[in-house]
Amino acid sequence: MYGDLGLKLVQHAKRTQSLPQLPPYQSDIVRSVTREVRDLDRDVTEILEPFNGHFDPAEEPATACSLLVHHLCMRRNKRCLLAYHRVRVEAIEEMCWSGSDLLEQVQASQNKVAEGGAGIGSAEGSGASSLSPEEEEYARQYGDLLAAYKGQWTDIDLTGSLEPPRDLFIDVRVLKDAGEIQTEYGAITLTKNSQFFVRQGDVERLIAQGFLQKLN
Amino acid sequence: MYIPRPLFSSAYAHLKAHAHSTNPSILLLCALDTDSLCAARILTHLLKQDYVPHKIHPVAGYQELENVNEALVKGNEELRFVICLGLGGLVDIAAFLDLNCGRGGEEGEEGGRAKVECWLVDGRRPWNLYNVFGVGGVKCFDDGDIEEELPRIGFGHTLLSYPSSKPLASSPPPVHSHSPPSSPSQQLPLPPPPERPPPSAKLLRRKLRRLRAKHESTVASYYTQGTWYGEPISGLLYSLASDLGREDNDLLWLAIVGLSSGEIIGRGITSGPPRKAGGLGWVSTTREDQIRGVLRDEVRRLNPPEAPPPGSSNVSGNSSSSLQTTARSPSDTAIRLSPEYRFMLIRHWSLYDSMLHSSFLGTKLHIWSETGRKRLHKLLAKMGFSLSQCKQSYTHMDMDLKRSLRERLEKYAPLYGLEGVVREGFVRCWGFRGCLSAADVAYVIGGLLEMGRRGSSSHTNSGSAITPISSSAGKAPEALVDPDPTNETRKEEARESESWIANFWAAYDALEDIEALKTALPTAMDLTRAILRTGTALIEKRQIRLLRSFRLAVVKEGPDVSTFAHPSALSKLALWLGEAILEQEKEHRKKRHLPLVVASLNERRGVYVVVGTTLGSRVDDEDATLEYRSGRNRFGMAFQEVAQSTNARIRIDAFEATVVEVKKEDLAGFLEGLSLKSVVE
Repeated sequence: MYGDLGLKLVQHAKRTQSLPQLPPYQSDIVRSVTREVRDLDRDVTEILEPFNGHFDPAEEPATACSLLVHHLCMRRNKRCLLAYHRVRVEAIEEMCWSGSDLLEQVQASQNKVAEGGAGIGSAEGSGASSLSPEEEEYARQYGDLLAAYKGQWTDIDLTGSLEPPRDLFIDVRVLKDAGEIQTEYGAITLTKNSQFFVRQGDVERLIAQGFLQKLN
Repeated sequence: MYIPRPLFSSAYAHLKAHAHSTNPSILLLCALDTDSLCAARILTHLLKQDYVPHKIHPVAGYQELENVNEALVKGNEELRFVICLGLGGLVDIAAFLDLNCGRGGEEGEEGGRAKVECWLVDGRRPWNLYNVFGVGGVKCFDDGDIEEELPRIGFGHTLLSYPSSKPLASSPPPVHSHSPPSSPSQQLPLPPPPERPPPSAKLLRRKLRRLRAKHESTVASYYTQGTWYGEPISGLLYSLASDLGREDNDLLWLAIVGLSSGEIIGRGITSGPPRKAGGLGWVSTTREDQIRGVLRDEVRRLNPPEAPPPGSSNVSGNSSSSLQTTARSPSDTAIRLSPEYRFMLIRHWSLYDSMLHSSFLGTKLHIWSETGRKRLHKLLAKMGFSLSQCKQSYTHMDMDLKRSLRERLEKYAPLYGLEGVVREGFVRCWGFRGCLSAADVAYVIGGLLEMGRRGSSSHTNSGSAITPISSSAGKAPEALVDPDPTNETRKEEARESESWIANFWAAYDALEDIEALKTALPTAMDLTRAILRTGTALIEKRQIRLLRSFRLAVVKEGPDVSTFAHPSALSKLALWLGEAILEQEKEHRKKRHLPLVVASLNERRGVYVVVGTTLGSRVDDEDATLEYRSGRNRFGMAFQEVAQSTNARIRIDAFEATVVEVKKEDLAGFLEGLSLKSVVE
């Protein structure tokens, strides 16, 4: 039926809103929906062909109705596509703002695939980037834009958390080796399996990137 | 150099003044045992209150200590203080850690950069005298032992370590023999003795030699006593906190847990008779009781008994004769004195199980045999407790029974030689979320450290129970010829220490999280069940062999092998077995008790973990000197000697001197070598 796939896409979008990460881009469905739209469009042109551009709806109400239905289906599909992409774009933008590195995630998942071995088919689906190439490009450019915007005010971290910190110092535990990081006052070597009591400001970024775990 | 008790607070002030205020310039190295864990908690509490950034790094063994040195100490210009909690007392720590901060300049940069200071807070004895009297930034926290006992030895030590005409021939400090022969542990930190023009007179030289000999023997006799334990370090740090006026219930609780944990793994404080208390007229028979007494006073001071409700902390009051299992109010987090039975986890188990698995009761009643179990049933019957009542969870037992438990137990216990089954303990409530006694917490934390969190235990368990091994001691490296197995073992070792570290953090978190403690209760129960099971099997099957100078038990099959691959789990088993044997021997009126060696197979790495224990650390001997010496474990030295004299592939990596690992194939040779050493006086 017309519109079924569109509905599926919207359901995906709805589900995406409550997920912590972005699920893989549904390129199959998107392609099917666009194909459907193209088919509908072809139908419409076929219907209109015999009239040679002089179609009067009042004379042929049946044809007019069929054209209307075709048109509405196309509009609906378009709305579904837009809705799906908007949800994803918003999620991508939010990721850019929260500072988590999209491209790094892609790399990490690719590594996982490499480790898992090529033989496993299921790993391929989950392991590949969850962004479509266009989305990746969008994310990159949006990130550049954001960086340029932030660059104007170097003393304010626009992407920082809006919640005021409750403590100046916090306990963090190192989940993976992060090497040496430079802070305002010197270097800290973050080695796995140790716990630090450090200034929150120094490590906020690393917490967001998942290197450190904050303890309450 | 050492810091006596009264100066703890000024040492802390010094630390505060010299620590970097925004960067972690303090490195806390923490051993993987409950006491050290508690101590780390106390110290970090203090540091946090002062906003001093710091870093905690758990360390499993000497090999890892070297890794830490490579990664975190060497050339780390930010570092000002290294604080070793529960490790390093036995070895010359300056040889392990590069305390001369900066780019390798030993002498050259003296003026430029401040040296790294290293604090040693360790309950293990004997102190390595280079730590105590050496020059450099090493400072030992002294619980009184050094001040009391060591000046004499120290004098000798200092004399000996000063340049003399002959280099030191003997008097090896308990250098732990560590695998890579190039390991710094063997080298003394002192510069090679520059030739001093010897006094020309022959007479003088002879005199000097005699003096030397005398001092050498003093020093040697200090080291050859064996190893033993001083005060729990959590107690030491608590006294630091109270010197600073910052003690509170949380810290006190940690100190109490630290003390209780020592009792569980048989770390009796055996550094000597009770100290003459300054001012306070304590009449206590052991050092442990004395510390207990101090803590009891602190509990009373910080938790004044509420006025209206009847007898809350009144020791023999009526209300306190039944165990407290619930808090009095939702916000009740007080610590209370309460009678404590020598059964573990009674508040969360059934009375029967708790009695059955207790090492105190079990060994006295000979629980491993059928008659022993009957004896337990009989005792319960005499007390008027029906088995069906006893087998349900304690909280659901009949109120009357609960109320009369103490009285009846005290009445009938002596018939079975169970004097002292009830004593004073500490219990703490966390609102209505739960009530745990200090000993219970110690059991749970111990269980977490040894077996890991329950959820992950199923598959990590087997691995989680093993120590990281650095490498085999002595001549081992050559023995491991082909590279592949070595790699494999190394990987296995790394995995093992990884899981231990994960356990450490689980325990660290649980120490202040009652919910986590409660979920970990079954772990502790599993561990005690495993001990009972394995111990019973060993005794029933008569698998404890009597060798020339010690007894030997080997765990190499059964469901619990993987559990006992962890040295401290194995120590608990050894303790249980030891007490059981002691009871048997007492019945046969034996006076001399051979020590016990327990070995357990670590299948994953193909090594045996070997633990040596002396029996009857708490035997009351008539002989005062024996009493003084009892509880000193001489296995540490014996292991060292065997490692040097045989070519068994051995690794001594654990901070515990009495734990070694021996290659599976070499166990026989190792034991043979060991049986020639005299571990008994």
